[in-house]
Amino acid sequence: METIQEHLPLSESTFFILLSLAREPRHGYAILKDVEALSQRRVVLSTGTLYGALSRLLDHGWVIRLDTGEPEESGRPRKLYRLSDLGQRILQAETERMEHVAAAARLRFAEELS
Amino acid sequence: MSRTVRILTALYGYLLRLYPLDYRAAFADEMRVVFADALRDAARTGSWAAARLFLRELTSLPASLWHASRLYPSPSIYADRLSRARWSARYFSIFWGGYMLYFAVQRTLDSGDLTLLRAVQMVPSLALVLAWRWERTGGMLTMLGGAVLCGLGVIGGYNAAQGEPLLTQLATLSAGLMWGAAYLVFGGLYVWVANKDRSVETPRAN
Repeated sequence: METIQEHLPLSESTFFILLSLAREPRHGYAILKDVEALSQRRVVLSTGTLYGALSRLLDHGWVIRLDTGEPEESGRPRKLYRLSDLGQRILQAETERMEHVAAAARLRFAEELS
Repeated sequence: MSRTVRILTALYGYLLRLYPLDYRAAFADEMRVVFADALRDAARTGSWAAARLFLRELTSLPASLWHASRLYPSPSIYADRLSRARWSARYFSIFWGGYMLYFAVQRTLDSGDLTLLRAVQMVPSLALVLAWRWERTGGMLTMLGGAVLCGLGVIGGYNAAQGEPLLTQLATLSAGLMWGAAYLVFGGLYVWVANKDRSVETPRAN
């Protein structure tokens, strides 16, 4: 059986996409803009990259796709993406992993200074 | 909607056709809407910002296509030799043609100077991308541009390596020749595919 740890570390773009969905469900363009803002423009996704990542996240079951009922230009309902419980746990685990890494680095710097 | 936005959105619609059928069915409509939204925002700061956004899509396209084809495999496009050749040429043309075009435009924008060499390089790069749709014409134009680039590369290499040892001269000439060789090879592959396709279709028509 797969454990959460097997999926870590996440790529930066995957992490920011999941983080973007942590507070509320969003549609594609809102994710694109939010990832840009969260990463302070370090991660600028193209549409192709965003949907490549979303299709993978849907496949893993980390993200769920919802119909809003609000139609797009094509007449089809606009889609929203929401973090699943598994996605939430993965995001939490990755954040904790990064905190451990940062704490270890800070400790080492502090040792060198003292 | 400005003309630039309309043209680039239409071109993006064509690029979406490169994705596997099932992937397109799931995401193409959304991708088109998201791209149009992003383009409209970028176009507010000028046409170049919109062009840059489009070029970013082009440069990320090979990786996106690769990921999409892994998740939604469509074995039919690799079913026979002709399809394999066609799709190899297509993937390469988007990657190499798109990248070289982006590179030449970026350099021109940065320096504010369109040199003859860059202008010449843009022709086969653009032809390579267009060959996706017009295989024979695009392939021939790519080959012609590739031959000119080979010639310019050899002349440039010869001038640069004069007085150097023979091995250095040969290496510089080869490097100059290689510069246009990719265009010759893949332009030729497109022409071969177009000819083969015609010869397959002619007996069928008869």
